[in-house]
Amino acid sequence: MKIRKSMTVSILAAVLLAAGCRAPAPVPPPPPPPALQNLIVLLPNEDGSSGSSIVVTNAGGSQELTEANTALKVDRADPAPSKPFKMDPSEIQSLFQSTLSFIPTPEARFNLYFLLGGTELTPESVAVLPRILEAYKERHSTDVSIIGHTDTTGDSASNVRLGLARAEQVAKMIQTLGVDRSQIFTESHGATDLLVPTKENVAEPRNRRVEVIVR
Amino acid sequence: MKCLIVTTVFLILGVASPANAADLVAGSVKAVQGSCSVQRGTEAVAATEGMHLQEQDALVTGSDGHIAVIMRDGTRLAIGPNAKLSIVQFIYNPSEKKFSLLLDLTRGILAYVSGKIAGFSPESVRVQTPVGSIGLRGTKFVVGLGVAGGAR
Repeated sequence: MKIRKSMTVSILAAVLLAAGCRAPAPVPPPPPPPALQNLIVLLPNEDGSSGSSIVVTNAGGSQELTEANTALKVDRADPAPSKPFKMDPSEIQSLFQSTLSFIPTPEARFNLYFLLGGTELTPESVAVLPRILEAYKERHSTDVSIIGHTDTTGDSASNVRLGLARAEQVAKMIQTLGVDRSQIFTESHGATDLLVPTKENVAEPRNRRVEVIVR
Repeated sequence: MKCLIVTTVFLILGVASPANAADLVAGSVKAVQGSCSVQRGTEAVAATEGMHLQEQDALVTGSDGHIAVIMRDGTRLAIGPNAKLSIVQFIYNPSEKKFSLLLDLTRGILAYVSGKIAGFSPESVRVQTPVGSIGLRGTKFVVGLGVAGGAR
């Protein structure tokens, strides 16, 4: 078997050499290359909602795509984009499937809540921590944001500090579970980004929180 | 004396700079297939899973390459073979209501799924290509430059 293989190779090499010596044979014309074009396709929203649109603009004008599975062509930078046309979903898949299937998993978001005035998590929120670790592992994440918030009791400088202390506290807890500390990024928004809008000096438990975002 | 002044100025700039590790991270690479690189300044390094991306990085794929990326605002991107995508500008600062996502697709296929920036401020999102630019509202789309086939 081995011998046979090497024979095949040498015969092939010989043919190529011979071809190199002979006068060039007429080359059959290559098949015409498939026409290349620039396509922009609006896809259905992943949550099934409607109301998305994109606008494509160049030196020649603008065209809007407002319906899922419609597309337009843009040949060059000066003639305006083509009018929108429908594309069959199977045709979209056959053209773009390998790239579309490479779109990554969405981020996972968690809200954790605190007891009044400090950095102690509510028992319900402590129970959420293992799900954060799970999301981190599933995504092979290297980017976890922890954003601390407070309610509107206290002045703004101390709220920024408290929000950060809360974020750091959660960072420590998920680090203990196995999240790499160098992949955790903490910040504080103090009382500037309320989940439940309130007046000043309102002890609203749902505003005493950190958001954890696992990407 | 001259040297001292220069040093002082440098220190002030250093203190004033808000840049920390979190500010520099614009996104991260979620998956890589085939030969892919990230150009940062004049350097090109192999793209690897988990790698953090910065504003002004460019993602480049070879003929067998794909890269998947998630940005800090949750925007998800995938690029196909022979593509080049630059992250021209990325600003995601909801507490100060500052947003910008400016991408430049030089060649190849880009699949895009909106994140928070498009939700907060759709006019702050733009994808440039050599033949025109794309603006949007909360959306998923795909752009193919030089795609073979596809009717009409």
